Amino acid sequence: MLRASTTGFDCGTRGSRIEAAHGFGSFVKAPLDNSGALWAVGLIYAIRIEDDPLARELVMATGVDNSALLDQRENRMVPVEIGVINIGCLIDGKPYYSLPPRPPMSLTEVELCSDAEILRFTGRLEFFRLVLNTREVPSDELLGAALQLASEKRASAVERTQFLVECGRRLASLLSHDLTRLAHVLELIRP
Amino acid sequence: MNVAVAFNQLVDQVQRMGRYLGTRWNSAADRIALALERFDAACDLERVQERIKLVRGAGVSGYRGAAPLDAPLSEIVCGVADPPSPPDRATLIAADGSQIYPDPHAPALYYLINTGVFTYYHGEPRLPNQQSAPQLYYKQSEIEDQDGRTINNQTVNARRTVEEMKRLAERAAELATDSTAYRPLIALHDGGLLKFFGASEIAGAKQLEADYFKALRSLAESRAVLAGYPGAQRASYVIALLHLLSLAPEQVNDANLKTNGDLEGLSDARFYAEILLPGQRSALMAQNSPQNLEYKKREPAFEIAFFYLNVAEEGEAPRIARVDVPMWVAREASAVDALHALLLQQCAIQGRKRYPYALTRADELAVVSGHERAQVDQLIRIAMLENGLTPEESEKLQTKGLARGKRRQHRIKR
Repeated sequence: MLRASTTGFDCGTRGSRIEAAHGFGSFVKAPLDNSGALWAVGLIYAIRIEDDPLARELVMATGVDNSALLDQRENRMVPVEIGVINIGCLIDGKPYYSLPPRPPMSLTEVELCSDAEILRFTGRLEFFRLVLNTREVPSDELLGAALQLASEKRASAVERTQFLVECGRRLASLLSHDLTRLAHVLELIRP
Repeated sequence: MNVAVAFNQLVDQVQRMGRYLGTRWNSAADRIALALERFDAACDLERVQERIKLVRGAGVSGYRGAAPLDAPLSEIVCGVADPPSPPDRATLIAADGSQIYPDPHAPALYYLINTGVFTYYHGEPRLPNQQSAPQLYYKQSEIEDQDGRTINNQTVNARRTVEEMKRLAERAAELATDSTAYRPLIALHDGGLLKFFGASEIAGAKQLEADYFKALRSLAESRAVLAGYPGAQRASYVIALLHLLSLAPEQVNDANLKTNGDLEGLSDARFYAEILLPGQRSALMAQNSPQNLEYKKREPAFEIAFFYLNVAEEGEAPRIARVDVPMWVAREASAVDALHALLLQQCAIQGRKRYPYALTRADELAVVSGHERAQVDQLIRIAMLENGLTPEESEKLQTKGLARGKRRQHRIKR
């Protein structure tokens, strides 16, 4: 955890620790205290890789030296930054669809949500409004990616379709005033 | 923002400086042509050795130029060597250091030396090793000289240099017994290898000198290919040699050797920019100086030799760097070849900035920023408070801080 507020947080990690699971729209959680009972739940909306003058020079070299590449990714203090918006919290494992009461503290370890936690959290769709109303992030694409990911956690094709259809219905009621936007989001979650 | 420098007064001076530098650069063309002529004549190694014999004889003491290495290692002065193929595998260690000088305005008197050691494995993708070691000095015996005066910045610089060399030697010794480390083992120091600790202003100079030679000995025992990389230099050792060669034997005296005569003002780097193609190196030579003689007397293997290297890429303008090597390296043709090739490979890693990557990273590990210095001061303040002391910044620093502080704007609150 690098920076945090109740609406979201930025965390950093080494480039080598970034995996497929840390993609755009992934569900993550961060503890809000030491009890292990209270967690902020969020969605990854941005992954930023910062540069510095040395990295820029290495890019300009004719060939990339493999040891220097490893050095850049593993040793140098240039973290990959991950931006997260909060969409709720977990209290004793039970999901709540409002912003967490306080932000996680700096240097807190951020974890990916387990499949079971994603299923439980997306059992209700009340976090849609928090995502759709978030400015300065591509909220439609973010919600689309998160819902596609959540549908993949469902056991069967029927359940997956059922979940996405349910999501579409909820979106229709939330975005009834903006049909263009609604059509776009529905396209993003088409089964 | 308050601006202290009156730029309206400075702009004109900067423009005049630019014109001066331009004229100086252009006027070097004639001297370069002359130097090139003499360089061709310097191919006669016997003649060069004769002249060197003259300046090493009684009656002459002021020659500080280049000299060929002693036979059988001597290379023809006008010779150049093409870039050799790098070894399949090698280990490069680079060390660098940085410091916080003693500050009478700090909460307490101390100084800090931070050394960075970077190990790079050439030949296959392998994660480089990085180490950083800060050392705080605060005891009276460490921060005061024998007369009870606070040690000066030159002393801290000298101690830092010795610390860098010690760390380089320690790491080389570690890797010499490590079966996973590749050979040859190249040890890079950021600066020239011919150090002078004898200045009266350096506290404990004798001990520093002893420690420096101890580190050199350890590096030699580890069979490390040690190299100093002062980079771009204004040195004119080879130019001085060319001037010497232009003198008749009876003209070789201190008065004529005081300057480089009609080549005065020309640097070796500027001259070799005309000679060396990308990747080529000059002949190995040694600086003729009492200091280098002292090194040689201490141990023949410690005499410092040097060569110039064009680290530019093909098609680029020349970029000349000086490389210092001790005689135990200069004696081994394979070690010099490996060093030559690996320095080019290291410089190529950073693209447009032709500087050994390992040295860049060692510097990054060592450098103490202003922000970090403030953090060290803060930690010291806390430690003092915990021990019942009241750290106080000097009045001088506090008032400067007030005047240098940021301005605030008036805002109407609603």
